[in-house]
Amino acid sequence: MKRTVGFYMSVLAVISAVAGMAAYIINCQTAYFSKTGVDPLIIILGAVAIVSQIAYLLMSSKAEDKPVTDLIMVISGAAISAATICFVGSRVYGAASIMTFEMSDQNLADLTGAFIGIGICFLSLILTLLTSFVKSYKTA
Amino acid sequence: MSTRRYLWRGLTTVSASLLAIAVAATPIVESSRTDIDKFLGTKSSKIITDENEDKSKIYTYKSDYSSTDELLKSIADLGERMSEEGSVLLKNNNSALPLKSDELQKISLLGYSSYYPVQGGDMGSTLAENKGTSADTVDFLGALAAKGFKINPTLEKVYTALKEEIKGESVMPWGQTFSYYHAVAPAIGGKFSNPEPTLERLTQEDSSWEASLDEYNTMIVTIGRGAAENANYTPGEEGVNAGSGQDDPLGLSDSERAVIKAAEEAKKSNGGKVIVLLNNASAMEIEELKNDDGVDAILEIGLPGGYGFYGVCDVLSGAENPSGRLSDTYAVKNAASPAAQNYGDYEYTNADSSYAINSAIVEAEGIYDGYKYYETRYADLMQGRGNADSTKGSSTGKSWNYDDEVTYPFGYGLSYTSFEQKLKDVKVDLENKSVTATVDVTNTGDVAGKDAVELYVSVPYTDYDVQHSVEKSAIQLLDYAKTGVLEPGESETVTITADAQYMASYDSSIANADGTEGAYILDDGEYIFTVGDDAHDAVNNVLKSVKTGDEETLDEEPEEAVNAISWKLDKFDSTTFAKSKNGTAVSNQLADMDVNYYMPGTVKYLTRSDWDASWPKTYDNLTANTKMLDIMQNGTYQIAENGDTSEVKFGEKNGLTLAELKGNTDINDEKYSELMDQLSLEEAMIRTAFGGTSTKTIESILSPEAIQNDGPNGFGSYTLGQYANTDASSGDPYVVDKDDPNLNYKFGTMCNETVIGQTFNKELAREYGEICGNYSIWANTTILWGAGANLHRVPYNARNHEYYSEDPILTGYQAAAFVEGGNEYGCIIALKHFAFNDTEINRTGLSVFMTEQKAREGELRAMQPAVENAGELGVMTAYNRVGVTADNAHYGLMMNILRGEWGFKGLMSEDFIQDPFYASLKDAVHCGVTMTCNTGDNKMDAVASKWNYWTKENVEKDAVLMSDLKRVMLYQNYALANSNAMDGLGVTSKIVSVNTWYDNALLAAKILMALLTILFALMYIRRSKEEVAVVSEYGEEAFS
Repeated sequence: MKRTVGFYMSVLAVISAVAGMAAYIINCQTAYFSKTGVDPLIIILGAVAIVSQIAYLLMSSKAEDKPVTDLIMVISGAAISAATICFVGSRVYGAASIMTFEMSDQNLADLTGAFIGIGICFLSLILTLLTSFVKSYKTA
Repeated sequence: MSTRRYLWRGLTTVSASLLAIAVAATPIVESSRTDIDKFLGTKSSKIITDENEDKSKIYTYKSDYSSTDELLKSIADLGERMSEEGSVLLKNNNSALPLKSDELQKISLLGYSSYYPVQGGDMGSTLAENKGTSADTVDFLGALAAKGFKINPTLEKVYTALKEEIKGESVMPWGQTFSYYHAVAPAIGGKFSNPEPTLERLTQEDSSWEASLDEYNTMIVTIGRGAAENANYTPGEEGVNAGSGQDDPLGLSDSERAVIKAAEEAKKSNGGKVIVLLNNASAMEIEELKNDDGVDAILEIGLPGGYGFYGVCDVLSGAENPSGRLSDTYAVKNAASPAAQNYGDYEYTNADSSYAINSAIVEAEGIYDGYKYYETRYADLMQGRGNADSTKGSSTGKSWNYDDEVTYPFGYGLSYTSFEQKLKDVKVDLENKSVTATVDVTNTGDVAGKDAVELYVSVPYTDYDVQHSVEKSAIQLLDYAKTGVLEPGESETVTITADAQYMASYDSSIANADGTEGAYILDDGEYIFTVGDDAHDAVNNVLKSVKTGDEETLDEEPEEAVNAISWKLDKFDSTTFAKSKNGTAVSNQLADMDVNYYMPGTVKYLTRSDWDASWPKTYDNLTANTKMLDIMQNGTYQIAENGDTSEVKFGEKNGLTLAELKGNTDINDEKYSELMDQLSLEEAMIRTAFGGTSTKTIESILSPEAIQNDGPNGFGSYTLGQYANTDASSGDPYVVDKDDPNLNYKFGTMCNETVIGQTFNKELAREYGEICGNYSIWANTTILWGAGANLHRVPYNARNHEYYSEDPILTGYQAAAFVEGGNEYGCIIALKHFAFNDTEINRTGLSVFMTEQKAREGELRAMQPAVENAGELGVMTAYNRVGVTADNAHYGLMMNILRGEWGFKGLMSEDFIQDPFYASLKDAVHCGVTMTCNTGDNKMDAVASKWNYWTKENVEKDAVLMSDLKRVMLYQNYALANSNAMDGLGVTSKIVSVNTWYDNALLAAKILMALLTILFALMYIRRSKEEVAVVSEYGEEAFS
């Protein structure tokens, strides 16, 4: 069995999903966004995405042909999509406010952190979708 | 596994992901529905009225116009007249203006602001440019052409070619750059860049430009300074980019001086004229222009909006005679004022952004802002009092001298004719709390024109005042009026009935009979009333008439000759104004605005008893103590088990709708109470939490959605067509054709408020309110956050364009007239920002400290007439703190002064505070604020996700807060019941939800993605089965 580009993309998808969720949690601790708190739905969706992506990685080397592996892939894509959109939704009003009436270095840094986190989540989403079209291993 | 199976897996994943996105986006769309509707022009609800109800009777408010064409042309006409009366002629050597008819045909426009003028703010009161409507907006060039002026084509070509080079930029802190083709006010912390091209650059573009001045020798140089919300001019060299030759952003740059000098040089040979136009809202430093004999005339035009340049042209040509007066003092050095000593970014040493604790401004100048400082110090200097000759505050470093400090005083303005004003009579009637002055005004020149009558009073400054820290301005505007057009030789008797409460002073130390402290007082002594051409003329009249000890008057002129009439109060009076107009006892409510309240002895306020010793120092590096931090961190109201909640009724079935209270001005009518009983607690909680952009419908009482719009230069948020009614079957008398080109019109076109202030004409301000009211009816937008009534504490606030003046009386009466005009048509023109929004720096959390006397005689006095006299029904609160208490959480200000003493009964929205903590919802509701400026889904979950304490479980145990909720809902719906938001709503009306196109699109996307997901999954399964069959027949190698 030889690893393909799909494997490396799925590894990157996991890493970026973990990084995206970490960025969200950190962003929720910032001065500006700490007031809106942590949305458990985003955490749950992110966790589902990460767990399913890891499960896919682990299973794909041994049972990539199994339907359950493919199902995990679909779940992973849907979960990271929903998590990303919820992350965006949780920052829309804050972004509008900071970019108009609440400008300060601190708030802008907090908002930049949110943008970075959202960007990472989107990256994970794209990688997951691309991975879903290709196999992770091929027979040597 | 085969490639095709991966294809189906991939497609399934993509469609499932898109389905997840559509599903996840649904609640976001719901929570942002109001904003999406505003953006797309869609409607998510509509009113349905029984077919049998007489629809002609459900439209209460009538427009004066029969078409949008008439309406828009009237707006343009008013815009023109506003600038005719609001432009101020500051200098006119040898009657350089008006221009003669031949001079109109040889205009050379110099200065980039002639071609790219500042017509509105860059953010807030931005000019809406309109094309293809009945009232297209114009710039200076357009107006000149329309009025038949001919301009120098060579110069026009040169400046037009330089357009990209001279555009202004404002770099936002997050790195985004906004570009403007006019002078730009710097962003907070930024420096002013002056893009005026050098003479060399003009020559480089076309070397014949100087020679072209010989043919076009009427040389008009426009000097511009931008204005914007969220912007600020930093005083002194710190606020200017190096190399411009400017020592202050509001002073002239070397390039500006050079272009003026070039015109002056050309004038020597071509015999023409040099006219300078000041295109600004913040008072500039123009002493050098005043003293420059080469400059023939200076005309202050403010920010003229979309039609004001027509008026400016009429003033230049003499078609109209200028009658504007300065609404601000034009100081030689703005930074030398006492207020400027504490204007900046002064961070707390223990700032904490998690609680919006950032910085503080201590307004240590006390009541001495603008002319009240300059004229009072001048009066004291003349009378040898209070160490007025100290070097403190002197812009020259020498002993303080008025002529070194003031270029043009407050109230100053020239005319093409001359007038004589004679104060004939003054009657003070304390029983009726009025001062009636009669003034004869005669046009003594040879041109018809209007004149502004400025009635001032000088109140006694006594030993009592010194002992009790009561400050008195040597002169203060008490009221004003404008004559009609007077032909040469014609006279008019102007009678002004002023409100005597505005000559009273607030004494926060006096003990009241009820055990409280603080009252308005009238000292015993001489009160001198006068009319003057400006504040300085007025104080000179006072000085000429006043006797000091055994001395005679400063000159020998009798009082009659100096236009002053004195009135003597024999006994100290603390009772006449002990109660407000509605009978509420007045007492201290803002003691906590004084930083000494928390940290005794910290601040020394400026007093005229010793200008030298009390000159303000800069109060930076303040450290908030425990008591201050506690308020800033915890607010002023805590939800708790409180009182008998069963006494507070919600959800009653009384069968009423708000339509049954349409036009009912008795807020104590039992029906209002019964109607409020019908509300559910959830409705009240949601509607107070989410009031942004519109008030939203309330189903239990059928309260309609009232659309909000911004700002002081007109309805700038949406086009006329955004909410205009195009449904001919509705019975609405103001239905518009959906193809009406005026539906694209956006009414952010009026001149800025400073110009309106400079008209000194309440009737014009009222006309503006009336036209806004008419527009409101046609556009179906009821609420206009339009009456900016903060004061010009310093010229450096780049948002001064949204406020009238440095003076509270001029501000107060112009705002009141504006509001009153709107009320007539059911349009709620709301005051803002209540109160003390004196800077754009760190607004969210800024602590503003001052004495209660300054608060009450300054900015509160600027807002009081709109509420007490004009029946104001809307107020927007402020971002800043009142002392350390968030503005929205200050009970004394909101409930005891605004709603208590002044009797305000209307709706009240927070400013655009999106930080849930700082929005202080619970505290704000307790303090009478009817809604925040947040938006969200019509569900408790949505509210609780922003304010975790705002749950039914929490609130329904607190009877006080429950009563507060009903009270603010009463205020809000009382305001709506008396507005044109009720038009179209009858007793049989119902509000129904409507699916918008984007709702349908989202639903379709969900269905489509669900179907595709199923389809792809089936294809995947089918392919899997095929593969299993193949594998079983040929083995794994088949796919290897």
